[in-house]
This record gives sequence, C-alpha cells and structure tokens, in this order.
Amino acid sequence: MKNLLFIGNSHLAAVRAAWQAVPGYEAEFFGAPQRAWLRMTHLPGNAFGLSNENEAGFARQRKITEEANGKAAVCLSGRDVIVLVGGMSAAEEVAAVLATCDIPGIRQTGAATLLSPELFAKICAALAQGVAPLPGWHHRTDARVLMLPSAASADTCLGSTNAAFQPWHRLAANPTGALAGFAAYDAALGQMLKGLGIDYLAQAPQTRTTAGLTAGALLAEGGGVTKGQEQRRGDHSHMNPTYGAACVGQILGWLSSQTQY
Amino acid sequence: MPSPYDGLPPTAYWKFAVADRAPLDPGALYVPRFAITRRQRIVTAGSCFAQAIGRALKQCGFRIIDAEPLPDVVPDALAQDHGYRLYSARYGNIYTAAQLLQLYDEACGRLSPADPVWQKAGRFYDAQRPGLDPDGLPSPEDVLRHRAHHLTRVKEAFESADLFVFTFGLTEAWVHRTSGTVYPTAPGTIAGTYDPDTYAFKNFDVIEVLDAFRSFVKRLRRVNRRVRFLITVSPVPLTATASGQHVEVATAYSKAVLRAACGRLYAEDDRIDYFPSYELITSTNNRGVYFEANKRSVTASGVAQAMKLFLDAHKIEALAPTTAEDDDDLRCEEALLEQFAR
Repeated sequence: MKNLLFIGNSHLAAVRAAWQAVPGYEAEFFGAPQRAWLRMTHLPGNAFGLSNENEAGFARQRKITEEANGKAAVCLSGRDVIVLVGGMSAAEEVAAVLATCDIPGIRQTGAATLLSPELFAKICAALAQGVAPLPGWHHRTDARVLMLPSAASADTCLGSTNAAFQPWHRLAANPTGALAGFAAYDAALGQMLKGLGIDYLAQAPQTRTTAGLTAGALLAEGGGVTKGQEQRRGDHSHMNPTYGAACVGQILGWLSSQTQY
Repeated sequence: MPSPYDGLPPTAYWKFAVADRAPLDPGALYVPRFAITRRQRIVTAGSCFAQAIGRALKQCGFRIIDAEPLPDVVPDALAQDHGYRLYSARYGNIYTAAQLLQLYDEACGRLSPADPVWQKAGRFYDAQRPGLDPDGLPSPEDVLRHRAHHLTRVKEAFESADLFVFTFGLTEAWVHRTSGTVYPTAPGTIAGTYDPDTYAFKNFDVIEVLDAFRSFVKRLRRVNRRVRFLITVSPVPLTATASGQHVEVATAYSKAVLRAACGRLYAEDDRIDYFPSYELITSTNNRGVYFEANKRSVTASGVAQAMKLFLDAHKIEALAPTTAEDDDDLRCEEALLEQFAR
C-alpha cells in the first residue's frame, strides 16, 4: 500500500471531491484557506502546518483549518508521495504578459510591445521563481513531491468588469498563441521545479479554453458573476469535482508512470 | 540715475539667494513658464538622469506615455535590463540632440542609419540601442524586425505627446564617417567592432546642438502642433571622455555647451521651458551631498529634491498611497469547509 498525502489551499477541495478509493493507495487530505496556507511552515517532528504561535487576528483562520482537518498541522513521515495542490500559479501574470505583448513564434496580434522569445523565456523563469514552494519541499529524500497549481480563472470572469480581469478580456478577444504561451511558462516552471527535485503537473489542456482560461463549466457551484455586482471580483477560481476528476486523472497517470509506484 | 541692480528681487543677489540660504534648501530656482498637469500626456527621453525624472514623474501620478509597455507582473529589474520602463519607448539613453533628431527622422522614414546591426560572439545587437538586449538576438533579421516595431511606437509616442521632457546629457558621440549616423555608444564597447576608418569621435559644439534640437522641434511640430518641451541638463558628469582632455575639463565643456544651448532655446521659443535640475544638484549650497560616493551618480535624495522643486513650483501635491482590495478570503474558506466537512 502506497501512502499519498495531499496538502493544499482551498483548491484542494475539487481534488478531494473527485478522489475515489484506488486499490494500492491510501490517501490523506490536509487543506487550509489561503491565508492560513500562506502561513504554514515546516515544523519540528517532520510536520507541516500552522505553528502554535498565537498570532493576533488569526484565530479564525486557525479555527477553520482545525475544523476542516481536525488539526492544524500534518505529519509528513511515512508518505510515499506528497502532492501540493493550489496556489503556486502565475497563470494570471502570464495572461497579463500575453495580453500586452506579441512574441515572435508564439503570438502575433499587433500588440504595442514586441517581446523577444528570449526575454519571454526570462520572464517565465522569473514568474516561476516567484511561485517556488517553500525550501522544506526541495530535494526531499523521504517522499516524492508533486505539484499541481491552482487552475487558471474560469472564463466566467469575462462577465466581470473588475480591472483584475482586463488581461483575460484582452486575451480572450484574440487568443492567438495563448496556449503556446502558457505552455512555455509551464515548461519553465517544470524545469525550475525539476531542479528542486519536485515533479510538476501543468493544468490539464482539456480543461482550458483557447485563451488559457478554465472552461466555465468547471467552476464550482456558487462562483461566477453576481448580477448587479459585475464590478466585483467574484469567485472564478474554485473549481468543481469534474475539474477535480481531471486532476485525479493526471495524478493517477503520473503515479502509473513512476516505476516505483 | 539709480543702479540697474536697485530694486531687483532677492533671487537676483547671490548673498540672499545662495549665501544666506540654508544648506539643501533648493530656493526659488524654478519659475514655470507654463502649467504642467497630470492630464497631459508626457514623453520622456534623454540621458540616464532622464530615467530618474521619468520614474519620479510617474510616481507622482503624471501620465507618462509608455508606448512599449510590460505589465506590472514583470519584475522591474528584468524589464529595465531590457530597456522597458525607462522611457516612453524602448530607445534607451539618448545622450545627444543629434541622436534624438536621427531617431525621429528614422521613425518617419526620412533616413536609415548606417550599420544598424552590430555583432558580438555570434549574437546580433541594435547599434542604436546595443545595451537593451543584453544577450543580443539570434539574427540580424530579428534585430531589424524589433527595430521596425520600435520605430512605429516611437513615432506614435512622440506625435501624441502634450509635453516632451528631454534631458541633454552629452556632447561627445561616435559617428559613422561617411553617413554621419550617430551612435549612442562607441562601437566595440557593448557590441560591434571599432574600425577607425569607419567610425569617428565627434564632440558637438553649441551650434550643432542647437541646430539638431531646433530641427527636431520643427519636424515634430509639423504633425504635433500642441507639443511643448521641458528641457533639462543632466548633472551627471561624463563617465569617460575621448576628447583628449581631463574628464573633469571635458565634463565642464560638455555641460556648458548643453546649458548654453538650453538657454538659447528657452530664449527663442516660449513653448520651451527649462527646468534647472543641473543647477539644483550641482549647487555649492548642497556641499556635494546629492552625489554618490563615485562623485558622479545622483542620489535618490537628489532626485527627490528635484521633483519636490518641480511639484512645488507647479503647485502639484504628491499622491497618497492606495490600498488594494481583498475580498477573496471568505470564498476560500467556504470552498474548503464545504468539501472537508463531508
């Protein structure tokens, strides 16, 4: 029996919803809201989670983490594979670059900025560095570490007038080469993670539109634009179990490709 | 008859205007000739000190045209290493008036610079901005394609500006002997190869500086009648001179020529204003504190003082910082609890 530990922020919910018992594997899920997730750290005793420091104004985040998991930290010992889910994505940033720039060989739309492929590669590498997991996940010898980033925003964000989604609006208006641009970023991120001893699964292609957004049908219930509140951000980032199933499929495919698993 | 010096304001007398002024007090060095507002579209160009001016204006909320933008997500260091976010287009430092005129003429299709592509270690560089792609590009065709795109953006930026801010930096340049093409750096410094039969050193005099800038103004006004100019002289000394003189003597000559040209331009054209950043930074009243330890680079406090003088003179208040919205937390908690509570 191989032991899998899934750790992540709220994006872990979709994966957990889709995970079915798989013969030969036992799985534990440990999730936390984003604010708590960002404060989690590697703790003594080979654990990961929230430290016991009583941080003012943080009681609610700790309470939610404990309600969801029955604990505020999880033991990493005895795991064969640790899957980091959620966050660690620069899809929005890459979208902003692609929406602003033409890149020879990738995207030609008459944009104001003509970016050399060499500089685009450097930008992708810099964005990848910005989402690198904590050092405690690097080069682990006790377990393989696999990373699944958050999904890109769902295309329901195109119904929002919030400025945060302007790059996606521009990209969706002319998606030429967008997926090639995201693929270049994923390659840069994968390469960076490989150097840290971490495997990477980019967002499944079948879940994305030609602009690189996640298909709206995969958005979790309750998300999208609220009528009359189009100027607000809304939730276009949490996905449903169908999306989670695509992630599970990727994970199982990765597991089966690893000879030791 | 009373003396013509009787009744002049205190700013006319060194004793009152400088000797009695508190150290670092910029005094009343600048009286704007025309109003500059945050609504105007501003182009910035010039020597490296112009980068500091452009950045400060942008931070103060002025509409600095960025004709070749990169989104904020690209780190500043990376963007600026490649010539983005330095000026209104990706032209790098324009040290001389001749280079400015040549750039605009090229953008308008009136000339083609000689030797447009330089080479180094199998990579290719734009000779008019060789430092902007630190690793060069794979082929001459790539360089020319990027240059053609850049020129369309330059033309659009220049011709849509309400205000053109230009900082005169140098009189020394390297030129192509037969065509007169001006280069921003000596061939062989960043890329290219120095061939004395092809390239020559040139130290522009005041007449040449005036002619070049006047020509630029005249040509731009043909298509952009509303544009006004704010000119400055960079207080940054020469990093090196090829004139054969001591670098300090060469610097004094260069700055004197540029300052004289600015004085003449100001006198003859009421749509050109002069901002005395050179005088502010180099004033003996500052005891040199606005220069870094290398006695050349201007400190951040020097730039800030220059911008304060500018804003105060134009009666423009600095912007208050803004705060970002954060309304995602609740949804994150809901999504998690809903699934994990099962």
